[in-house]
Amino acid sequence: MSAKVLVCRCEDVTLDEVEEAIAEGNHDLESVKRYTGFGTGWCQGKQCVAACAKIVSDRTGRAPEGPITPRGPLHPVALGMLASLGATEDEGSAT
Amino acid sequence: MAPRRFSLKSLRPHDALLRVLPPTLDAPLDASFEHDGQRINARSGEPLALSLLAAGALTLSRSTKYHRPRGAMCMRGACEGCLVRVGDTPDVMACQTPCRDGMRVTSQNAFPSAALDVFRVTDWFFPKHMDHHHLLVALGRTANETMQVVARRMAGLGTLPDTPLPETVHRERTCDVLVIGAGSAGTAAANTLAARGLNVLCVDEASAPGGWIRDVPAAGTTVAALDPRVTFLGRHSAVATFVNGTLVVGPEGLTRVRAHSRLFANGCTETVGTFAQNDLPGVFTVRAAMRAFMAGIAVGQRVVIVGLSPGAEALEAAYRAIGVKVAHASHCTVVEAHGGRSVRAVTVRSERAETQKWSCDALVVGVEPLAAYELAGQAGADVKWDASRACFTPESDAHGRTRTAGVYVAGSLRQGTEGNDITRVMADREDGARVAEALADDLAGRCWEEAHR
Repeated sequence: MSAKVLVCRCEDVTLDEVEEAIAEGNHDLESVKRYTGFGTGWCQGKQCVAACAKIVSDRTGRAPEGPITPRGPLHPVALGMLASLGATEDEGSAT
Repeated sequence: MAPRRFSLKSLRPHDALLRVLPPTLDAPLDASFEHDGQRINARSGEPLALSLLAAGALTLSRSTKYHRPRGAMCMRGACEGCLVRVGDTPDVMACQTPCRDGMRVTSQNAFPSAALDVFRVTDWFFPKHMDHHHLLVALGRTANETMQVVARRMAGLGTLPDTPLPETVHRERTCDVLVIGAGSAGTAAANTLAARGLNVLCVDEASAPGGWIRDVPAAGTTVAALDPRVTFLGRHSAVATFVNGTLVVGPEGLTRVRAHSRLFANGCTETVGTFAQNDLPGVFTVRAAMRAFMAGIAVGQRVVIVGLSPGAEALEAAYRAIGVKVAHASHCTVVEAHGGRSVRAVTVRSERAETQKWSCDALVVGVEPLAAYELAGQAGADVKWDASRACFTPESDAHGRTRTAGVYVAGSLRQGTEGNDITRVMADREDGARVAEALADDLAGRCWEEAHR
């Protein structure tokens, strides 16, 4: 039985993996995300971003600057539903 | 030992819980469906994840990389644990899908089923983690390419439907104010805005307003009604928010809402925190266990509750009332959940750093919920780390205004979940009304300016 600590359930990222990412020189949340893939799965980081930020902050001694960019869709949507929006005028960009 | 349905008759005749539990809980089970070849009797309309839970199906899916067993953990669409295939549709969140008679539910990404998945060997083969950055490179090119093909087949979520899913039509709506979340703060805000003569649309993931208190089996808390002038869209989740539109998704499809102002009262995301085997089936958030309770289901028969998050004490009392064995380690933290396919025991650490191991068949963890900052952040609120809450929160002034005009935040999203179950609900209601007044003032000011320009 492997007693993994799951930091990000959706992408199966363990605490050990996040710690290794930090040891490899990724000292901010965004870099750790790019290295491990946490926060990029089904829940889009609802469960894991705070936990990862805390771990990175504890290990590096620096307060987290900000979260990874919360892009839409934040809730899963079937591509067919998105297609139902059709060709529309520019929606503007999320800031 | 497993989750089970309880009868209202197991409560004392005058128990206050009888006032909050629906009387239909003792009605006979009226739906029958198939899950991985097994016939399950359930109550139509209840969340499918709860029907499966009540039938003892704790493992509903397998994790994407290690094929670890997973089950419903949050019961409110904020985790991946309950993803199943329903009929021909892949990746259905069982916790967000009402149970219907005749459904055919199958597990995904597992062989032969999620309950017994041979690919679990991956988990044992990589006891700490799989190092993608070096592992595949070290094997050489041919082996690397072969591994990638295998890995791609084993990983991922679901397979496409055999026939195209029915087409949906999107809807357009306009309003003065879009209120996201119909909990204590959102309801108070929407009602205040309606009273100020504004056209308000309020969306919530649940089928009815109330939010957190709807799920709490505590006497003395009642759900405040929404003003009939407020348009309510239940079972709708906000997907993305842009300068000139917010997308919400519901059972029938997408709706694009165009609003002058947006008020985010979408509260918090419950989580169980980080500990060894925190993803085991049988580990639940307090809110998930409360939702199950309100549907007449106890998540286990020997339940350990750890922590003191909102609802933890109410849940403990509720379990005692129906005769479920419950231990509440209120001032402890979880070190490890034990078990192969589901929770069998838990090791907790006390404030004095003493550890104890307790056997159980369900573990409910009550850590401080995380502010659901994502939408407000997308709308243009500044998002900062809150060290005391250990999560990111949107920045706002005393009246819930954010850096971006027309974007407001209210309730536990910005003020956390301090206090007991009653005081917290009152504080959220007050905050919702306070922010709504500021919003209405700002809108009135803006209208005046536009008229006199």
